[in-house]
Amino acid sequence: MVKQDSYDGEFDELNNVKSLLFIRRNRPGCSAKKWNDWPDEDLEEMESTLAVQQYIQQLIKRNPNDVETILQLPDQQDEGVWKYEHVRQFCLDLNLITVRLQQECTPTTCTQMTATEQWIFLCAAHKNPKECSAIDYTRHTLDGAACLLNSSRYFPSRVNLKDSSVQKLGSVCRRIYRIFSHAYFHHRPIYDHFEKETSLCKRFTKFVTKYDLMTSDSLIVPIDEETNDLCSSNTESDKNEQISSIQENNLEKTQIENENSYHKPSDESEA
Amino acid sequence: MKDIGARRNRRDSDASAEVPDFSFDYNDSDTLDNEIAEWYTYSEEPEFVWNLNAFNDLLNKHYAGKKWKDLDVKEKKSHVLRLLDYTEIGDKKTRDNACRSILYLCQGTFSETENINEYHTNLFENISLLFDCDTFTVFLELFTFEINNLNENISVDSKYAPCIADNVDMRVILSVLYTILEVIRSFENEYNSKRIFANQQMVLKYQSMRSQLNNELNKPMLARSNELLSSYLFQLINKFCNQNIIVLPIKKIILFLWKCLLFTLGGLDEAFCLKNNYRKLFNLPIINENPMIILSQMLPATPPPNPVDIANEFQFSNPNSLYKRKKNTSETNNSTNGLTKQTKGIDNDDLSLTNGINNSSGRVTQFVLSTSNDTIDSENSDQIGMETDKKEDNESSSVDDSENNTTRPGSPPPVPNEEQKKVLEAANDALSIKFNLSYQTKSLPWQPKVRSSELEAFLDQERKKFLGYGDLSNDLDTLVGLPNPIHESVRILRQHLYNSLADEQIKLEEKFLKYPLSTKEINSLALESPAEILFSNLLTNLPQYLICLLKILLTSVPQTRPKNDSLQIMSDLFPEELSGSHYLTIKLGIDTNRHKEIIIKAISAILLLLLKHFKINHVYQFEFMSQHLLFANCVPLILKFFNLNISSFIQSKNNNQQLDFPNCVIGTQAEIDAEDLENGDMSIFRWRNVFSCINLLRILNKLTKYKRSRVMMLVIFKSAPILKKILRIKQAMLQYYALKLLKMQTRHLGRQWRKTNMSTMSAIYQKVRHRLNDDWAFGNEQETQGWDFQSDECAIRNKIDKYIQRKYKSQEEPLYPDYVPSDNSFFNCVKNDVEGLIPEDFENNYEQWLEEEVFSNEIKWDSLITNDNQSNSLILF
Repeated sequence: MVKQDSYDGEFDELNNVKSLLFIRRNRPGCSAKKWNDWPDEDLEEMESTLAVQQYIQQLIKRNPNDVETILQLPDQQDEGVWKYEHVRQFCLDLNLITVRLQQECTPTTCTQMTATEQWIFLCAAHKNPKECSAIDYTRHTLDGAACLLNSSRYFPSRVNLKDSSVQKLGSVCRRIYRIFSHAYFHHRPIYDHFEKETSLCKRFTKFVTKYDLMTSDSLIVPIDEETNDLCSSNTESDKNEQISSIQENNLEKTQIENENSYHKPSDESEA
Repeated sequence: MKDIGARRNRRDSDASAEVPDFSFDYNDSDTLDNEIAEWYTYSEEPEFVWNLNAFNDLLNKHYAGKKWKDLDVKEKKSHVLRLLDYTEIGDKKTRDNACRSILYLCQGTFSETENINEYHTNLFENISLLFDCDTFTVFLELFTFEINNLNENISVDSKYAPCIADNVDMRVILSVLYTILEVIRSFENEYNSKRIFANQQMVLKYQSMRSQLNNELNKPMLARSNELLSSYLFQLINKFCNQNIIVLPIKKIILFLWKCLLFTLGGLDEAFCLKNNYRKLFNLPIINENPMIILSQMLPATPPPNPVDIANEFQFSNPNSLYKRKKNTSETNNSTNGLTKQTKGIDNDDLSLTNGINNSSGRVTQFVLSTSNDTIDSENSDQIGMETDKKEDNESSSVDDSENNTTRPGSPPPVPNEEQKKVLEAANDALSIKFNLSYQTKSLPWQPKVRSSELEAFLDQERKKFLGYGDLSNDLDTLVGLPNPIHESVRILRQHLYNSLADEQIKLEEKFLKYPLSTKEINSLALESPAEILFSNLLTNLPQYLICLLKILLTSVPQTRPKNDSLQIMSDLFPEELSGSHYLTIKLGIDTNRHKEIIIKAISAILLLLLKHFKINHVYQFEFMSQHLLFANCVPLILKFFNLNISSFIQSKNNNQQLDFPNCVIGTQAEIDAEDLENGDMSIFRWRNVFSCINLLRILNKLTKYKRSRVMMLVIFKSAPILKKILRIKQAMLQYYALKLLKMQTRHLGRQWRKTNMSTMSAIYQKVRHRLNDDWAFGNEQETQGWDFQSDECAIRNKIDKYIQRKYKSQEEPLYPDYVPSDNSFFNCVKNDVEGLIPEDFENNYEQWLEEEVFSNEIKWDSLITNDNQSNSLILF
């Protein structure tokens, strides 16, 4: 795996092989430029057990604003797994906005998790129902979601999911959506900036509507149907910014990437 | 209040001493409708309307002017999702309204229905929708919230009498959970027994929901906890009893726990299959006799007259009252004309059957004797004579019965000849078709059994007698030197040899103690069985939980005087302020008694279910539980319960169909006055009370079976007259378990008792399984043998402790620490925390290390296979 560079230019015919041998892995300390810097791969060619996640991340990387394509269920793909991986990705990506919110949203500024001043939500992370401050609520909810999505009790496998586990996604979505609504109504600039880059809320809204995970009237954050056009003119600087933001939150992601590329080194050493 | 209760009881006991015939089907639980009706107390009636209002408010906000049934599937789902969203809102009022709305859906949106069928349709649709939206988990979370909230605000004031206002939120949440569980659990059963109608799609849907929920409940209940729901509920019961959290709605918690256990462990049929599966694993033949089927076909025996009662009647009542009594029965007979005929018919059948059985059993014994005639040794040889004696006794006593029985209408004339012939033919048929189960048995219902230890004892005895020495340990084959008749009887004994699963498990356990390292668990499946999961979860606190259950049971037994330290079990019943009106007072009285009856039902069912499943899973788990029940004085408690007026308990009038949910909210409501309430409804028996009686008898049976010292407990507590009283209730299953208990102790009761109770003895002969070597009817000599309760229990205790030590504590303190295998599993290695194990600089530079030390070194793998001595030595050293 370390040796991959030595193939470069040695044999022309090996150039085709090279793409297969690409190690899709972000190394510790790599530069922003090299982050996720590998060619796309077809879903059918992905051999890893985490192919679906890899595929989704690849689509997002290609164009985060092309929500329809990202949410398009590939042929012969199990719908449960597809939903699960998307929710997983939402939680990962929501960390990005959380990091930005932290600069502005503190327990003193936003003492309660509210959206339209109408309701305060209870934080499910505690033994007793408690009204946490908005940023704590956000962190607790994401933590709870990560705990649920990684629990071996509900999701022991990422290839076959039980129906009962897929059911659980509804609750996760309901809770993490509150992060969007809080950001939209209380930290509009951060939200706008973030949404423009990632179209995350739009993707989420489309996702939950498509799979009927939430009621339409709970989806209080308006989504801009026009962002699709903007995305094509996505500037290079935006992209860089996006990359740097990804790095801010790379801890969990790197772990997954590690898992992702886990099989390949062992294959190689055997060869 | 207390007055009312006392008055009602008096009235109950006055009602009639004799319970008319009734047909009762024992099952895991009552019908779905009854189970749901029993969930709510009558005091909760006003809350149904609160639910309706809360629901309508929220529905109108979003779908103005529409009703639930007008919404399409998508709208319904999105409304449910919205409601679930609201359950997480901080504002208590909104949250409660959302919960109530969901409860209203669980109650089958009753205001939009006209009749019970519509209610069912709504109920099943709504539950399936709610389950799809993961309502169960959401409400479990809410439930734990509510409980944790409570823990903080407990009032330790024990004088405080809790009322229904104290736990209103918790009851809403519990009701949702219970309804979802109960509907999913019993749907299939209800559908199969044609009590409900549903389309095929719904049936499939419910099947998948059932397996999903089952899966869920066999695992820790929430993602963050590692507790089973059942064990959580047990803890709550413990808190209720020991930490004085009296506001918990204890009846609902117990009911919910019962359903949870029933759902996860499986009912009677599942237990029967499970037992056979385990037997297969141990290479034992499977059992074809399903006790439930045999018992359901059994006809009740004519109850024996109770000499004490008769004496009492003559002593304490003037002749007028006797006359009145007679008149009373005839009146009731007149009022239910159709019934009279039926009853008579049954009576007719009954008697003819008794005769028939007498006849046929005579034949059966003769048959057995003809094959094993000489086999039964000289000691037993008088049995033939006794047998026939007994037959005569039997007949004469049954005649006596009918004569003595003053309350019964004139006994029918003797059986016509034709019928007798038929019976004889049938009996002969029965002999030719051996143990054909589908056959309505006119012969003995059960296949006789012999334990291998009994066979061994018999062989030893015969060897001693004929050869002068016995003790050939464990040799069941050698017949050398024994006369032919003994060969014959050994053959018969072998034919009926029965090895129980428990014996095999005990043997395996002994093997484990002898060879702790090489013995393997035969039943590796059992590691994941629900009973095993439950047991390992409950192990440490089980004794405490059992004591709690028995405490609550004791408090619920009717007619017990409330003591200072008795528990407050009425927190889900007492209204906030006691009203003075006559109607309400009566209603509250009925409600209280009903409440207690339901608690008894649930606790008896829980105990029996646990005993049954632990026994199948591992006999020492069963012994563990039964010993703790015993130490908690379960035996006297149950006997005390049966010492009450059982026939009036079974006929209790503490119910009113019009007040039952959903009847109290569907359609137009008829006015009910105090008179209606006092009369109760028309049913002859209360299903739940017969059910609890049977359960308690079965628990007693399970506790005492094969335990001599415990049987002596039954004798010491004078259980015989109590059990005999039960025989007066003409229900085959109830009688069967009482007879079984009597059979255990007959040898200790003395010749006199047996003489005066010949009809009971013959009922035992007819109904209870025979053990070929068991001399229950005539043996006396055993009484001289000493028995020591303490040492017997200690011996069992020792074995249990060893089992638990081996199976559940070997991780913490292994028996042989030197022989604990080292953990070589790759996955366990990866799981372990390696931080600190590898120096930081190495961790940062390991790739370079790989490069230099591993990849750059050329390894000649080929030299491994070449026969080069040098390379060989290189590898070896």
